[in-house]
Amino acid sequence: MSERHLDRKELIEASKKYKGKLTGHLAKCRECRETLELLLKFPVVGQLTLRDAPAGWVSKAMALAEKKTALKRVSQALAQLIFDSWAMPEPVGVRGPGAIEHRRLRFEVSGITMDLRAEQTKKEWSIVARIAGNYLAPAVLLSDRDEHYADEDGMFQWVGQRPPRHLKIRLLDKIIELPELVWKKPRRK
Amino acid sequence: MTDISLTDYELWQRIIEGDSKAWGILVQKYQPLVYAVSTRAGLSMADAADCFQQTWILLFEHRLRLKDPSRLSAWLVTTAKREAIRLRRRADRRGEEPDYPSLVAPEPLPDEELEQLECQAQLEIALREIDLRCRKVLEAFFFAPEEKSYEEIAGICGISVNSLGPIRMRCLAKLKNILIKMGYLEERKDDKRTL
Repeated sequence: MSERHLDRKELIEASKKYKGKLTGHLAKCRECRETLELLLKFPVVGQLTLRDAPAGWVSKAMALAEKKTALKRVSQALAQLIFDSWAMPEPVGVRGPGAIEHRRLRFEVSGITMDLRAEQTKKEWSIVARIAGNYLAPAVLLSDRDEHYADEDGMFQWVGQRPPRHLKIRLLDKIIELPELVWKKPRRK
Repeated sequence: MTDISLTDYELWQRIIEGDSKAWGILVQKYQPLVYAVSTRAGLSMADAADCFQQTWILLFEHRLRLKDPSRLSAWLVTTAKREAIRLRRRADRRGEEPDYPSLVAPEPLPDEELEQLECQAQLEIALREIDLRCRKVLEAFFFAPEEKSYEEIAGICGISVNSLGPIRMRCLAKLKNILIKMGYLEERKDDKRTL
């Protein structure tokens, strides 16, 4: 490896010419490679730092959330689990290790219900949920770190590697938290 | 210093739950970016102030409808640009001149420049979270308008020339970790010779 690292000018040149392959010093030197990677993502070398906005502008923007008239506080509610198919004995014919794993759940809170069906295929989980009742759209279902938007009928659908654990429903005026879901099937005697 | 443990997404969750402190952190975090877009769009200072405020008002009003909070900086840039265009048209209709016509761009910033501003803001936010020595080393490398030699940077940072290389490497790794944590950079699983 050549002893000398690439200087800033050479690295900028390399980032402009980069087409997916590295040659010469860059192919051998991790330090320069790391720098180049950053330059490819953030091509801002040599630019002066951004200036802060005047303090008055900033505090006015910050105060937006403190104004009672502007901040219509979103209420929070905790939904109750009122049905869980895993808590019920499975019908004859679907018991046994060969059966497709599926679970149906229903949650309820202040006139709003949420039905959720989770079905495990070979590698993933397919989830279908539906919100119904008296709620203010748009409805967004927050599943762990993902967001799902309801269609016109209040339906959410997605596929994931794992079934959801933490679910929240975000409505225009409230946030409904669902109880944490445990996906360990209860053993039956 | 902002709370690095909170990504934009997490900050957003708190905001929509009514946490005004989270809103304050968010404004502090991105105000230089919105300021840069507002003041480089050929507006008078009064209109630039309007553009700045209106961008935050729109974000606040749309807080329950924002589809992807992890792309918040892009949303702010696009909204500030639209506001700037709207205010610019209004000023043109009134026949107003910007306060400093020779210093401002004749048109609101082109998209490429806006993307650069967004990158710059993200990098600066991450740099604010890093320790002082690393910040000095990386700022001397990245932001100094003129390229500085290893000797000059070592002098500015008060370290020996020989240790500058390894320190810079460690600082870069720290910076990348922060950028990844903040969701500005994707984590690369391998370290192969192609990036």
